[in-house]
Amino acid sequence: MSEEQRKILEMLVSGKITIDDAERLLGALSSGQGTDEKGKFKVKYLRVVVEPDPGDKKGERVNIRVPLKLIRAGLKLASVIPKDAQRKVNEALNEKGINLDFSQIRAEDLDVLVEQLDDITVDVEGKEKVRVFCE
Amino acid sequence: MIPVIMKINIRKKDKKGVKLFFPLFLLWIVLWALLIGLFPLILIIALFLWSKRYGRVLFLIYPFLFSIMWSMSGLSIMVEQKDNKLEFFIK
Repeated sequence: MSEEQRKILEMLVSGKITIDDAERLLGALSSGQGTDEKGKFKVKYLRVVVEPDPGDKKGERVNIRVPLKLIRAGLKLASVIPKDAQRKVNEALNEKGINLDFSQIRAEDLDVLVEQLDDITVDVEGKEKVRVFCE
Repeated sequence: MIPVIMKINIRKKDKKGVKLFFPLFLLWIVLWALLIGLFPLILIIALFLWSKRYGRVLFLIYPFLFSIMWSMSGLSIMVEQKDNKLEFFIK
């Protein structure tokens, strides 16, 4: 949740604005967020950050930044791989426990994913915090 | 922008770490020369394999390879443990 969204919700809780006003403001904020003048997403990177529990000084820290252009290029490359080769890849992934069909993922779907991917935070058994977000 | 530098930094406690700056533009020059040199051969193989669908892949490998090369700029991986650290950047 962004600082602006938090402020709007605080104003709503304190009674400074109505529910309709808050809805309108949040809508305006989300429509303008992350888009350029053409309405396209201007986010450039997918970030994955793994942080250990604050008390755990031995824990691993991981910070990965992948350009979205690279993911798009990879998906386009995957889309031209022949189906029998894709089937072998999917079988190998299934053996590893990853039930994912890469032939079903298209570069256009990435924009939808980015649109839906607000700041996701996952706590792993209370030990590590995994954050996945776009910037 | 096409990536020009790859930086790898490996640090270990009580040991001398490894810092590597690799000028990627040198690799691109060699790679492009290789790809241009191999183009006629790949074209012939692609035409022979066209009926088996692998020909299309070979034919499209050039534009996709270039798009991946151009998109790598900004890739960054950092893994840090208690005493060890690995950093990998492409700029």
